[in-house]
Amino acid sequence: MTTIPDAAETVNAEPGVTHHAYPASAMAGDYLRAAAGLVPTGILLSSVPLATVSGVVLASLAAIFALFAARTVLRHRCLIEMSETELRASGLWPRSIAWTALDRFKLGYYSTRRDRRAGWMQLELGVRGTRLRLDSRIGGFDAVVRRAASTAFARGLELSPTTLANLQALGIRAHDAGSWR
Amino acid sequence: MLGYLVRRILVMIPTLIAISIVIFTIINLPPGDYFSTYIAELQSQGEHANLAKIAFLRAEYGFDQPLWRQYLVWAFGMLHGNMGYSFAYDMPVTQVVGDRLFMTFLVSFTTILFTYAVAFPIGVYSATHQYSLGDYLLTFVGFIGLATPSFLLALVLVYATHVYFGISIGGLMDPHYMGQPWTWGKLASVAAHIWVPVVVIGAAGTAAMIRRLRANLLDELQKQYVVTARAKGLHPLKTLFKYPLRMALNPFISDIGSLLPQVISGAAIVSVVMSLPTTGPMLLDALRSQDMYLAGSFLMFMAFLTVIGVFLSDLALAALDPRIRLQAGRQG
Repeated sequence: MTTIPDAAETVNAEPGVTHHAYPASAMAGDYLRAAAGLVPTGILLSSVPLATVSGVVLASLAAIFALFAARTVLRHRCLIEMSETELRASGLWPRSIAWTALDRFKLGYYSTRRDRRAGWMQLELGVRGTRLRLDSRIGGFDAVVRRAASTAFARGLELSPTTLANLQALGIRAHDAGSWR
Repeated sequence: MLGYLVRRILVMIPTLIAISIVIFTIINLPPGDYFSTYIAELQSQGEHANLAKIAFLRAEYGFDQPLWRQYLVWAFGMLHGNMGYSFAYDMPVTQVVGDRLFMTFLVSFTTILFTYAVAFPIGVYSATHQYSLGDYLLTFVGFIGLATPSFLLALVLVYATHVYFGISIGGLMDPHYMGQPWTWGKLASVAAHIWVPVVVIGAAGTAAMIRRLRANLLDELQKQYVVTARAKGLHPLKTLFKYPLRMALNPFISDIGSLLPQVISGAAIVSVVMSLPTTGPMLLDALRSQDMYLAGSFLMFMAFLTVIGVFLSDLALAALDPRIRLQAGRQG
């Protein structure tokens, strides 16, 4: 099993290779959210006879929370290795994104608050059918985004205005391509 | 998106619980209950109420219990699909509501479709033909739509069609179809009647949406990327549809949340004026007579629609434009 380092981002002895992981403190909130959703829906579904509509709604909610719990475990056990050639995810669902084949780059920002504060970013990278999504709680997120953006600019990928605005918020512009280190 | 969905649901559930508590408290705030109103009404008519029966009903429906216990019975009942009992109609709320809920949905959704179908092309036209004769004309009509209360428009239409054309446009179907099972004839009758309330209820919303789409699209069309695209010779339609229109559509999507309850609550007075068999008039009666379960279930239904509407519009916005607002800053 992959050992998750205590520090969220570590620089390997191999030059140019960094490791990134979700720290336990960042994942605790997601475990609590999954529990806050699964426990009450589970109790209601198993102990109270419900009307058909309420039953379907509650079962759907329970399924969403179960999926979220599974994703939280996957993320927590995931270790990202970024090298000169690729971004490799090891753990329960291993995948890799070769920089030379990168064909999808999206950077989104999500917040549940009206003033859009206290949100988080999500980076989505893709190579043909393979997708890798990282959110901004992973250690060294900015470095991964900077490297991926540099490749995306160099490869001439069409980036949406939303992605460009989010990159700009991180201080990354198209003319910074190549200065990702 | 899954993380966003889960967080949004976790916000939504306590919101609904809080709303249900507020609704239950408010409908219990007036002194007395349905039965005391009923007794007073009978006494004012010089009739005698069967006090023993009323005392039995009070105990049967938990009116002698503390408020928090009554709330729990009501809230858990709704989870079971039991919306309570209507004392005024002397039958379960679900049976009282019956067809009216469907009619309310029908009128509301048709109104929303009408609003979007009319506002979208007019808003785009007004923005792309700013200060033209057509823009001035549509702006004028839009301001009239915004400034005229729906019920007033309904009264004027009912009066005008009756006096000048000799026809009645009240109701949602011909009277002989009322309470009858659904047939093609009944459907055709509903289709022939529904356009009037849809236009009346949707007028204000449509006008507001035209103004917002026009303003947003004008903002986008003056941005540098559009000017550059035009300067490079991009086809005008592509210049319009590729990004500016998408960006200007955000208020359209965020309006879904407020439009649904707005249409339903706005339709209440119009429904009274136009004799529509929707839930609006029934809600007004229930609130007046303190028929608490009927009123509470209606209000809860509207709150549910609001919360679901806002939830759906937030999801759509998050999927379409997950953009950081620079002034908000980013926190991990």
